[in-house]
Amino acid sequence: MAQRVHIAIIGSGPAGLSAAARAAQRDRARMDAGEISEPTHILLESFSQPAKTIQRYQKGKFVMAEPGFLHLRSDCEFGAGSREAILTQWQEDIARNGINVRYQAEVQAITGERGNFSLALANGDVVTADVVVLAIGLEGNPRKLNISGEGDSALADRVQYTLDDPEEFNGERIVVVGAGDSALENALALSKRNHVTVINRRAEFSRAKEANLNAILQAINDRRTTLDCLYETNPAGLEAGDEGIDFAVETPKGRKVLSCDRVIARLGGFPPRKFIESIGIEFSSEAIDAAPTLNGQYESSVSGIYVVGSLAGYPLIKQAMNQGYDVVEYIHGNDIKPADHELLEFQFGLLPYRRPPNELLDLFQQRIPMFSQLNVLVFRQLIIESSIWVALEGPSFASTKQQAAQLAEAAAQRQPSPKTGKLIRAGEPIFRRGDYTNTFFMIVDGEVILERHEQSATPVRLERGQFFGEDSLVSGRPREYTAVAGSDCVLVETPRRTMIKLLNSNDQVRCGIDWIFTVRALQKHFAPELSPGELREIAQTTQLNTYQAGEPLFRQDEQGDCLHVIRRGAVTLQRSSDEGDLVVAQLQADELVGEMALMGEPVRRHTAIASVLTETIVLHRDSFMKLVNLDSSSISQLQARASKHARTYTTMQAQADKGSLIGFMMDEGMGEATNAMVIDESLCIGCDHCEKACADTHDGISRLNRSEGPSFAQMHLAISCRHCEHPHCMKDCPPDAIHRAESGEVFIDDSCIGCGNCVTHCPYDAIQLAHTPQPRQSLFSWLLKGAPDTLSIDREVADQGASGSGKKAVKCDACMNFANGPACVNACPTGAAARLAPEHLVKLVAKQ
Amino acid sequence: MNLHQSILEYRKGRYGWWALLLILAAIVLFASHSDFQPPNGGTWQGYVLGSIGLALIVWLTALGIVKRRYGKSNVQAWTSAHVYLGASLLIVVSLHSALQIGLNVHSLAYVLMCVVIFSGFIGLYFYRRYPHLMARNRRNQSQRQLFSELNDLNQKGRALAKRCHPNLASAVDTAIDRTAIGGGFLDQLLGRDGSTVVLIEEDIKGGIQRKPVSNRDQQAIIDYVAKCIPRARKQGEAANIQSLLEVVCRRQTVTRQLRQDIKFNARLKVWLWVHVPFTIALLAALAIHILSVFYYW
Amino acid sequence: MQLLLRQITYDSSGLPEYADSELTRDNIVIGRSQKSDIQLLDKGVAAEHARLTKSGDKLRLVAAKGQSFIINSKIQKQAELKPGDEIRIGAQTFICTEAPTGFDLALEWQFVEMPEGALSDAYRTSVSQLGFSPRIASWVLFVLVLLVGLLPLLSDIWQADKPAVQAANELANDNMAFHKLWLSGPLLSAHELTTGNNCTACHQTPFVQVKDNACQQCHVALGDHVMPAEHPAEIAEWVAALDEFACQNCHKEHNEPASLVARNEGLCLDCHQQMKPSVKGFSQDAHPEFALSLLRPDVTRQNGLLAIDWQLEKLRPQASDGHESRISAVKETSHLKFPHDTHLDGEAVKHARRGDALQCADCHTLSSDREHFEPTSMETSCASCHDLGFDPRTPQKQLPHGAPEEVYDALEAHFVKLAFSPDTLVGFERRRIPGRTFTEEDCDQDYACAKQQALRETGRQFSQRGCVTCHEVSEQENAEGSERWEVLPVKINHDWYADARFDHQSHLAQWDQSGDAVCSSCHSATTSAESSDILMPNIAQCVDCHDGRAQAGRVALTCISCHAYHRHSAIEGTEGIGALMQGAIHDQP
Repeated sequence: MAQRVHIAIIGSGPAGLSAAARAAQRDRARMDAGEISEPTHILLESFSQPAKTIQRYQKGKFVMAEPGFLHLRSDCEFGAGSREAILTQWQEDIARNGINVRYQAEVQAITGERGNFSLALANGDVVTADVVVLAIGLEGNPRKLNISGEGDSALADRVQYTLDDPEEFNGERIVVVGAGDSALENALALSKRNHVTVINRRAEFSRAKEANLNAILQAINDRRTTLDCLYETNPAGLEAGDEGIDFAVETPKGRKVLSCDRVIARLGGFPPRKFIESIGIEFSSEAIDAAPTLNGQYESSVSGIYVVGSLAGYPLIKQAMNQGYDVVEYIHGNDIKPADHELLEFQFGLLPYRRPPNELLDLFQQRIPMFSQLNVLVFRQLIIESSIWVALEGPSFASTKQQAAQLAEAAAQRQPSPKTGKLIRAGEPIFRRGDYTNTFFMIVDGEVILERHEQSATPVRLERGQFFGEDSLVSGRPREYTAVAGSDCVLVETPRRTMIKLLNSNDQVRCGIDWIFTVRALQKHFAPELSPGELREIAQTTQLNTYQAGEPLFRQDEQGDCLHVIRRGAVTLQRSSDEGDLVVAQLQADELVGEMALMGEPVRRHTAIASVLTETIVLHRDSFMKLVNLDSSSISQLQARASKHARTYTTMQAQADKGSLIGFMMDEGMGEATNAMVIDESLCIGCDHCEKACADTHDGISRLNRSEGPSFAQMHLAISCRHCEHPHCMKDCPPDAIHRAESGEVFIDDSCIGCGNCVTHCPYDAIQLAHTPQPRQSLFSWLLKGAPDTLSIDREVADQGASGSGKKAVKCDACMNFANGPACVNACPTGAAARLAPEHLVKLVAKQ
Repeated sequence: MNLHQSILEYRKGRYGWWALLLILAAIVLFASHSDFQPPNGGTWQGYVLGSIGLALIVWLTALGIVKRRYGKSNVQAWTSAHVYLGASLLIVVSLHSALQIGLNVHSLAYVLMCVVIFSGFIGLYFYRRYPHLMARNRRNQSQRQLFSELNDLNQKGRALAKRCHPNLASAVDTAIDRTAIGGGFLDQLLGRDGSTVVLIEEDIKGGIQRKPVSNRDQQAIIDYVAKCIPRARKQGEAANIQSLLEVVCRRQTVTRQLRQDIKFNARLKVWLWVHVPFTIALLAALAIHILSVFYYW
Repeated sequence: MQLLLRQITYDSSGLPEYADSELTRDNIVIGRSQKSDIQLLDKGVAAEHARLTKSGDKLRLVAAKGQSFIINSKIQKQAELKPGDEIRIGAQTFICTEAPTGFDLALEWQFVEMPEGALSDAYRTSVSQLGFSPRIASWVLFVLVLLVGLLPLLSDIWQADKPAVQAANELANDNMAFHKLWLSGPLLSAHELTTGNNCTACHQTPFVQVKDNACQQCHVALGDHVMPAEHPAEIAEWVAALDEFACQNCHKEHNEPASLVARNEGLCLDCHQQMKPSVKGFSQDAHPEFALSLLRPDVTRQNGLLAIDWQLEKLRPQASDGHESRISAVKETSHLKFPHDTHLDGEAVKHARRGDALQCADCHTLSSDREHFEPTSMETSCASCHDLGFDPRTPQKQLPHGAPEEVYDALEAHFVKLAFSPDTLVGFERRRIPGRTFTEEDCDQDYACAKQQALRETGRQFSQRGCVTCHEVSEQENAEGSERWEVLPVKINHDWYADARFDHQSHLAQWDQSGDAVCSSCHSATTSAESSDILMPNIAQCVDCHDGRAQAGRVALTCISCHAYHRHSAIEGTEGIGALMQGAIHDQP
């Protein structure tokens, strides 16, 4: 039976739901006017309930309403809250708006053209529609086991592809199939109360995140946890057994039957791209997470098919809901301004020229060559997330300052308040050398001068269309130069998170940035007198290599024909001999490795090993020669540096014990630290004053654990944040609550929702989840009764993990708000505690 | 950037020089006693020295508070000054008292002060010596890790013992059960080991004797296990006992390390049990001393 | 009791494993400590948690004090065990089963793996777990010290409640044991004796220094320091301005060693450097020349009788340029003729017994005040050489050492007796004494002749030899008989420096000199031919060895080393000053 509608909306996520609600409201108006008797829209959902992705969230998960400055434009309600509250709200909204929803309706194919699309459903039904709104999200459908007995209805409630609440199961024997992160997270969570067997088709867990990998390996090796693993094993068949399920598997040693109560298959999902491409919709690139090509009204390359939501590149719920609303209005021919229009007006408010935001967006995109090919919507999103800087000279600065104040006032009155442009005086620095900021700047107008502080370095002048700040973005190191704004200069400052997202999805942008990074590195190290144009050719002969922690860049006694410039990460140099390996140096980003092969003996003297995830620019002999031939000005510097390196390395080599200490530090990840707590055990009396001080100055919760953490040669790396160059914790923070201060401290702000992602990501256990503050004790009560044993309480609280509500992630902020510096170091009565940067390590080791 | 410095080396012993100056000043002041009166707390020099002493004591005691007002001051600087100026107090106050000792509240204060200062010297010695020894003893492990290893060894040992002769199994079980670590005050402070083991031996007549014997340093059980190796009859038993021997020997090392760690920890803490209560008592005695002097002025 | 314990564990594949052990014990202890028979390593388990006992046929499980266990899901403190019971202690579960023969009880232990950290919790690994709280110890010591320290005050309060009949003295003595706790130094024994150790005898008001009237309760008749007659009025005002704590200025009690007098000169100099002569310290420049106390005879005749009024004159010889005082220019009058040089000349005068030269100490004996010397007298010092014989025929006959009348009477008696009993002089040939106009013919009558002879001899004694050798004799031309001569009374100055004191004793013992050399280092007796010479040393002599402040080669002197503050009311009693000073000199450290 074919049903005919005007608008078919596929997917009942936030975007689809919002679009359907708008369509339903329009239908209701027409029905009230008596124009139609049936709804002209349909919402098709493959699952039995709306918003499948959110349904799959962990029980009780707190959902954010980001971005805060964007207001919601939808017929459905949405605000930050628990998963359950939101789902209940949306159920109500479906009823209230009169949405014509059809569950269990999986669309398998779409054919036809504008005005006559036919949608084939899995159950054989066909829906025809004039226009189609695709709001299917990125999750896709779970991959199934594809083995016999899987569809057996007797087993239906015992074989599942999602895990809602791990706490629901108790004392069961559960088999988890899969080796991805979701499988491992499920297995780990379940193993607390159940006996879990993980089935991995391969010999190792190569797809998992590092934190999950470590946790699962530890759990497998720990015979006390009830978790074990079968490697290189494939599921073969399911059968109802005497006690639950008999799960037949093929192991390398032959077929085996596992008796279990439950099977959870986490095999990932089919990405929807194939389906979308089958409709004829084009994508912007081949990248995995590339978005379909869309015009400003979300219409895809197939006329009549609109794409909204996370599939369109808008992963945030609020944005998706706004789009859903807008797209229905567009379809009805109402060319409304998008909800973010006003936001852009505020952001562009200080520009010396006044034009509608859309035009300005076009102008901006044209001015920056790197972004000229970017999807309009992606660029729009980029600008919304960025800040616009305007630098003006004296008189115009004064007048614009008033304007800026008015604008800020107007913005403050709005709820939520939008971002406004930033105004600075021409000649003032945008950022200073040594700042730990890592945003990315593009010049739309005017010029910016980059002042390096080394002698002989001439300031670099950058003009319209060029960009800067990419070095800190890539290396995670502090700024190497001061950027000074020229007159009438207009800049776009893009936050790191936005930029990283873009780099990962857009090859063009990534290549552009990599190229300029390389050119600037070459210019800085080898040829300060060559222009970027002259360097272009040589830059193209270089390679960008990525090394995982522990992977060698080159080995001792190899013939070397290249040098490396470290782009990010850290490298240790090892000298191997009969007595064993000896670490002679550790090198940070922006340093050269292996230059000796080009400037002296070609045989490598050392093995260079990436101590953390490291990226290098590889410069081969020919290119190097060409470079120094073109510009010989820096040759003496290079030679001086090489001889200094040779000297220090050989000195270290002579002191075997010191090398092993450096080796230890590098093994423990000090290579990526910027500020780590190092305790001299020969002075530490174990009084735990450092912890008490930390707790006292940080809401009663210590952010460091003195007694734990690795030690070597009387040096103890206490468990405390090291303020990594590329903080692992920042990787996946839903509310973007983790920031790096200009002075380098990594801290978590109040917007933390306690999701625990950072806790999982931190390889050094430096983050914990804890309840909010405890009252401080008065001095008198301390004299009388002594301090309560807060430390032990905190540990217990922290041990309970992410499940508790109201907890927030806490970590060391290096006491950035205290004038006296870190409280832990100040509180140490014996001088055992110190906070060190890697630069100090050499001194520390030399002192030993 | 200053790397780790001990309290005595802090800023090249700056407060040591201060203390030395203070001592010299006190000696000069004391030497200025004229014939007016014999040296005494009651001369003007005595009053000045006494006031310095009082100020020092109050200031030195304040360390206890300062080090808990976290994040406000550099405690290492305070501690360094505490050590040096605390030592100088001994001279200042001795000069104040002109070493006149009697059975009275004044001498009580003096004696309490001496107890505090000398316990402080002991503490300083402990602080300088033990952290280093502790680190060496723990061999890059924490106490928790050592206990965790011991726990593993215990389980491993019991599991291995189960597969041996019941007498041996029982001996290993009792040795594990009756391993003493830490314990009472003296046990901890001296690292005493009161471990015992119940050994089962068959006498000539085939009778069974259960003998609880001292298992100090786990030596008895090691000897017992080792003795069982050549007597093993069943196949594979000897290998089993051999592994068991490795476990009990490793246990010996770990328990030693733990006992040492506990001992050092105890010593690092226990001197404060004298230092702190006597400081508080000293404050009381000092108040009485001042009251009594001015009550009968 | 025989117990069969079966521990059940599960291996990794879930198969149970059994481990049996037998326990034969009267009491089976279950607990966390390693001394337990069944050790349970768990936080919730006490060191000794429960005990299995057997009495008769009954098996009882009794929890230790404050502990409990769960038996068949009920919390119990003690229970009788029967097969089938399920006992839970901490995380562990035991099930009683039917005991096999030979056993009293069989327990199945459903062994649950000890949680991480349980092992370390089983031991006391830190001194802070021993239950000793330094904080409580601090408070206890604090209160204890306060109580002990406040005992004197507390005991006063307690004593105040005692019946009033109790004598005040008794009260003070009772409290003294406690009050001694507050004693900051020993009392002077005199004070200790008189106050009876009653602190409030002197310290009358708490927190107020000892006032003068407390001292004056005992020290009634203390001479004033300032003599209104001697000092100008303004100085009297200074003294009047001293407050009620003036005694304290100089007298500090509770010293160790016990002493009372403050020795620094500041207090004296406060006034004395403003006075004339100004005193700034003890040195040639800072201290004025010593003032000699000279005795001047005012000789008058009243009704023909000699009357001598000795006037004490203070004379401060002015220092001349070379700091050489003109003390030599001052002469004294003692009415005694005594050439020190002759007496000390071994050639001229020899000791009567020893036969060698005289020494100072032969005549001068230090009196017990260590400052002054015993008065020299004819009998003790002179008589051994200077006998009073007058007639070589009767050398044993001595004149009395008295007034001229007595001398005359003695001579008359002698000559009369000689005249009437010539036998007494058998063999004695009258000799003519050259130069004498004495003839037998001058006298016609024995008695009258004897009288004449006596008178003549008296005249000789008072004007030519004998008495006149040592004494000043006044002769009246118009007087008759023995009244013609009068011996001027001798008064030897006993205290040359009346306002100061000097310890001869300590000065006599010198490291490089002894005997007379010591004396003559200050007193130039060997060169003094006249008794009118003043042999007292001057300040120059003192500053050779002494100085106001301690310095190398000098002994420090403060004002009160020589001077006393309090004067006795009578200036006459110079000895009194010496006596008063005595104590002060002796308690010099």
